Amino acid sequence: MSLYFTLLFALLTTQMAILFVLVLPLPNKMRKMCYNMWEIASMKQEFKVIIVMLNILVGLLFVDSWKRAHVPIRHKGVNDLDSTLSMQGLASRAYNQRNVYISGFILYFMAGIPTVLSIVRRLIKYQDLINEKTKKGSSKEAALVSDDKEIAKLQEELRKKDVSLEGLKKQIENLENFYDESNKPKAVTNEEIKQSKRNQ
Amino acid sequence: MSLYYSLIFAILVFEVVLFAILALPIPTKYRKPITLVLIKPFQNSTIQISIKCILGFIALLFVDAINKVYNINLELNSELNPNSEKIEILSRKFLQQRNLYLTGITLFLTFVVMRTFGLVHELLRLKEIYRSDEPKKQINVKLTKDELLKEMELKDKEIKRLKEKAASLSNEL
Repeated sequence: MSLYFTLLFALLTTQMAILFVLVLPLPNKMRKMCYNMWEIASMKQEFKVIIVMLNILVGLLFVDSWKRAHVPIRHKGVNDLDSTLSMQGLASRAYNQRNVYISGFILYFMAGIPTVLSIVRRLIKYQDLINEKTKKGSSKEAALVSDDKEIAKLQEELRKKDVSLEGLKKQIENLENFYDESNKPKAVTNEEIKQSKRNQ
Repeated sequence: MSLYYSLIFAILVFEVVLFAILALPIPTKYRKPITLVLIKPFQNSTIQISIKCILGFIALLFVDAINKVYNINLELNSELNPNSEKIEILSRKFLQQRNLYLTGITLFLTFVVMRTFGLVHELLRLKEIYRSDEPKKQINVKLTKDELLKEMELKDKEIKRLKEKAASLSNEL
């Protein structure tokens, strides 16, 4: 394999390895690390230029190989009476088909990796949001527990107040009864006094 | 291309399309039904077994292609057959290399599509968990606390009033 194709093969293998790691069921921390690496890389202008250049080069190879792979291989030679398949034509076709696969899948994974990364980004986002929510939830639960204690205390106080209220009500009732009773004889004596005054 | 490799090529195209549909950033509203529709046929046990058989067959062809490429390389280096043309060996080599890529990428994409489905499923699950309603216990508790405090205040007033009444009554006596 020429150096050019060795490099392309290395690129394809790297892309496959990256995609393999990305789609693995990794913990959130690892996913975050991968995504942060990608974000740092994609922020750089040089990285973008390299990717675009690679895409153009591989794209050209893809178009070229595609065209050559579809060239008819029937060789109309003078000596070949039954116009059999030319060995050279076959070799060239197989070679170009191989290049179509290499370049085509490099281009495909160039598009595939960012889309999988976008899924990973959303996974990280939602996992973080849920983690935050559960943290808040646990603090809320703690608040709930303290609220429960407070409520129990308040209820106890309320019960005591009810008891004292009952006691006071009874006391007032007794006092009123006593007042009424103590006033009744007085009322009688007053009438008696009046009667006695009339009699006089 | 032989019939075998035509079949593998068809599988590869199918996987490429499937991966594209799964990985595209579609809104959840459409993504969920699409994912469910796509996965439905693969839940059938008969289809699962047949997929495993096909994958085993592709893996066999992959190993075979590796083996052939290795042998052809040996042949090319040692040139044991001086009669055979070099172009013929090269032709066979390229053909086997093409088959190697075809089967290898088909196997890889099968794994990637399966795992991408896993990722999408996880994403949909997380979204569902996030969007599910919170329990409303908190509000109830707050209300009862407020109510209790109000009731306490009322009781305090009542006690104060009754105490004053009692005091005035006892004074009158």
